[in-house]
Amino acid sequence: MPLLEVQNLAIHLDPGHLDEPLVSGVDLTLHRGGTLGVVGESGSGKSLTCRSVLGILPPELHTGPATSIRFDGVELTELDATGWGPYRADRIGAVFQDPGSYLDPSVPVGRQLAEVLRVRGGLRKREARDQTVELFTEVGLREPARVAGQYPFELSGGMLQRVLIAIAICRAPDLLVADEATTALDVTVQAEVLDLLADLRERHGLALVLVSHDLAVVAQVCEEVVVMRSGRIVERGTAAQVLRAPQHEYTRCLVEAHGRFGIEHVREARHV
Amino acid sequence: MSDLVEVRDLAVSLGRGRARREILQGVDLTVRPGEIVGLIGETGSGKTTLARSLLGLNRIDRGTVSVTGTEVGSLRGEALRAFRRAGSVQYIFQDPLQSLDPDLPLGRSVGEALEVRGASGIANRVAGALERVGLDSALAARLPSEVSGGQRQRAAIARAMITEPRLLLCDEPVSALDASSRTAVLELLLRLRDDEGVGLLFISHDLGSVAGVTDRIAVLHHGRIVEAGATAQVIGEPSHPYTRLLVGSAPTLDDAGLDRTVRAALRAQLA
Repeated sequence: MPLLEVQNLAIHLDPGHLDEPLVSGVDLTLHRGGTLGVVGESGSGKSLTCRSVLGILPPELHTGPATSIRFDGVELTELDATGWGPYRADRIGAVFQDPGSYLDPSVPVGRQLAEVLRVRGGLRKREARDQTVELFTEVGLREPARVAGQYPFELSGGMLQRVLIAIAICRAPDLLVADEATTALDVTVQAEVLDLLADLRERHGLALVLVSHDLAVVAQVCEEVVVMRSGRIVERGTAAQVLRAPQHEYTRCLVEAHGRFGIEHVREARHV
Repeated sequence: MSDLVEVRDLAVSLGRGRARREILQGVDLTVRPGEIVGLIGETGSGKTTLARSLLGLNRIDRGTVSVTGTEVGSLRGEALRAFRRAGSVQYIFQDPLQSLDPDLPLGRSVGEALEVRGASGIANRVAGALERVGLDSALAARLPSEVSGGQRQRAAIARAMITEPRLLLCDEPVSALDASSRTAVLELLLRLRDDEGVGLLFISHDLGSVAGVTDRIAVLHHGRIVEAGATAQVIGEPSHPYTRLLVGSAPTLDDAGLDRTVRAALRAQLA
């Protein structure tokens, strides 16, 4: 049984589903410990797709009548707020583009993670504090005990994203969704965070959905890739298939841009 | 012809008293006519300070900054304004709205420099400038908000090109654009170099997306140029550990990038 199976995902503005859907016909399958990349430009529907998996669609949007999102055998679209409890944050973690905006600016970052451990994990104060330092170590924050006492404004973008990843994995989820989680970062910091996600996956068997506008970012980490455009999947396959033999015009354009202006162009020219 | 940019042993400090920090140390940089040079640096590398120094906006501690033959490091007040008005150097920003007035039709923004000079035949020259960057001259009547992001960046380039500059300083010119307009804008900048011999300095954090258009690359790290040379050389055989990490961190579609463990070792070496 797949860990995540999305079938016929449609997202409508009209609660009666009579409008032209924003997303339609999206099917996704992800096995335990697997990696799936979702590529697309802004407006392609990639973030809405991931939000429906997380159960955090904006209230004015509705999934279609034929939509099924099964996680570990449970139909998520039928859950109410209480039913979502063990899934959101516990079994499915998520990180987004702007880590700073998900943290309270007036509370040290360690306390924010410890609070999650106490409230959701029932840990005592002391245990939560110890585990916070362990988790900060795990996500590669240097001097974790010192960082725990710092406020968000004292940390760089890359450090903030590590804090958010620590919060996202603190309940040992089966699935981590990263939506443009490295987009705002410098290239070397982006690579650090992607390497961390790959490490975590290896260490914990975490399944990963990585959403990005950048095909190369996704290809670096993911085995399976889908390309979205205007609310639909226009291409899917293994990363190698999509990169070597892109079928859709849009994917070809992404691959060609790298070949003409990227580092690949320079490397190729050297070898000719 | 003399070099468009000639920076020698530049040192710049910012801040006062105990907060004073040396931002640039011993920086050398050259851009020749018709050349595209990439200045690659990440957050805190000093690239913005270097760009500002090229426009004469910083006091310099040491060294020389010569731009299109003028020593800008020592220019002040009216002399500096006259240098900028001459328009031999133009700046292309990541966000075209830094140079385009949101309330002004594109044609007015593009022709503004000519208007200030009291030139004649402005409408025709604006139409010509728009066509040169691949925009329909009918777009002259539109506001920046009424065109796409790629078209806005083209309009900003048209505005820059109308003073017939010899040097374009491009600060992350395609970072905010989606893949298809990115390709089109890079092609346009290459064409301006080929057809008009303008020199370009590309200032970017993202080596991966601009490497292919540059002839040479200079890598700025903690205020120093740690490596500079022909693009193929720097990418093919990076010698400084930071350059190796930078090249090996750029997401690419070939499998020639560095292994995770190699990157981790380089980070440890640089820490």
